[in-house]
Amino acid sequence: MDAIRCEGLTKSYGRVRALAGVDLVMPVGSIFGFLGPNGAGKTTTIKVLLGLAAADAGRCWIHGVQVERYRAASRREVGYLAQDPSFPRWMTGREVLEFVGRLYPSARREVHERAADVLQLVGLQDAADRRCGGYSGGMRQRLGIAQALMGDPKLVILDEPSSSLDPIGRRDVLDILRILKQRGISVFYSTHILSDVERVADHVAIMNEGRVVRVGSLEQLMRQSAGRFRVTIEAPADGLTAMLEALPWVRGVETADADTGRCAVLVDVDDAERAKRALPRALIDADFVLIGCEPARSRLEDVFMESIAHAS
Amino acid sequence: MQADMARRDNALSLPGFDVLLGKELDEASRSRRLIAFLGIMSLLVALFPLIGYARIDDFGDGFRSRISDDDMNGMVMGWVGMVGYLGSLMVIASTVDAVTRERALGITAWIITKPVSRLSYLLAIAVGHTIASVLTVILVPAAVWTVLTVALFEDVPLGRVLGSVGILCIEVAFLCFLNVALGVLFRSVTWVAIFSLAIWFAPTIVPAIATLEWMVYVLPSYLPIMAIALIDVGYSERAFATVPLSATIIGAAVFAAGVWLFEQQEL
Repeated sequence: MDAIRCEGLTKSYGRVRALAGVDLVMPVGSIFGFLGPNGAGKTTTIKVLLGLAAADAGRCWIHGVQVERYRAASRREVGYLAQDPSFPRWMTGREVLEFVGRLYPSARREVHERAADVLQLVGLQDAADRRCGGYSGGMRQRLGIAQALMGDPKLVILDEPSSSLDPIGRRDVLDILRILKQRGISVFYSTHILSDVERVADHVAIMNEGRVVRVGSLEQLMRQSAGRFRVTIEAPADGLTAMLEALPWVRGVETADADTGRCAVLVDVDDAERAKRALPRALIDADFVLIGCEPARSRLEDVFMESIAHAS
Repeated sequence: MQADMARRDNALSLPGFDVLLGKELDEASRSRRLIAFLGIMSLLVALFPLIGYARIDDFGDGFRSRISDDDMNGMVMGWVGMVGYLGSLMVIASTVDAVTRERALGITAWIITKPVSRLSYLLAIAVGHTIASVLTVILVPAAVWTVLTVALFEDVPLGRVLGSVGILCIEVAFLCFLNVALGVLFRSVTWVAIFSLAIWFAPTIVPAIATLEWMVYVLPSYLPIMAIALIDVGYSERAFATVPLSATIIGAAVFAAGVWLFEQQEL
């Protein structure tokens, strides 16, 4: 059974097509980075998954429960954090958590213990009895994560959980996501911060113009975009860049690092298979002392930009 | 499993209603606005028996005084009328933002992502506001009035007072359910207030409505008049039954339409 499965989701707002046939499968137990530029349809997809909006066509399931047919039931095992979480200002943090806990039949009996547990997890125990109207943005975000965990969910959907946080807050959120994964909770995580996804996610989907244009494990996506090689030679490296740029299948050359003994460059090529054999040969033929020539691991940003460019 | 979920997810089931109602009542108990309304209303209704008592020239033998039926009816009608009209304004003031505020803040969407139904959510708001308003605008002030009046006067018509209180409770419930439904239709507090006041004061705003005799039997706006008239009967007996009944039916129909609309809306 998948944590999330979407088949052919479409939705339009007037003439604007927000979702144009979204197909998506999220494996159980994964941290799933959900990426895309503004207006790609990420939030609309999340809204459909949570029953906040109805799709025009298509179906989706959460842990095998069809969302369109069983709206309330499909949410029993889901925790959700909105992009800009807002809670009743008159409630304290602990009251918010206990209120949410009581909404889940499975968590009702142990709301006090569970609230104490999640408050500790998100580091809010000292502010738990303060009214959340006085919480800072970061504290609200932590409370948002805490309330998403109150129902003992199998799946947590987080919409931009770290966008409004400072670097320390972001790091803490990522640590929490890792803990959730260790506890066997699947995390569906929409964000613009690609470096965060690279640090925690094991699966990624990239959306553009209402469609999922790339989906798979992070490792697999990085490999798919392996049009880049890291070449290391012994110094001196005079003429290296010019020589590489003269090769017809090289798209670009970028200096990676250079110290006194060696020099490393990143070479973007059109045909990775051909470059695997031809690049070392060309370097040796040009009398450079080759130390290494290997496919460079792409950055997620490259994969993302390439996916968006391809789709457009 | 699917059959079990279908049963629990039935449109008429109310998952989470008790918890949501608890939240509404908790919020009401901490609302400064409602506490202020409770104080104002209790003070105002207390003035009727106190002023009436102060105006008595001859107290006779005992502490409790006997006044004429007309004077007693006037005193009862005074507070019933005040609760009927001033109270309705207080109820409108406390319910215009019942749905719109939470929605604008994103709290509605947050709650709806939990395992609750939209019907549970709206019903909890409507019932919660009804209970809070009935207590603050009617029952507690009525208790204050009754204790003072019974302490100071003899032969208080408690049966008719109870009947009037019942009609006023229906009035408050009607306004609460109406405003919750209007809050679904309009996203702005201003529009909810305008429509709510226009519906409630329609016979005053549009005198032509009052000229239609049958309106007296069906229009919920006549509930305060019914509550007053019950003390000193001026309307036919049929209207005492038809107006509360029509208010209940119209209120339920408007609320059902609001729930239907809410089910279709994107949050």
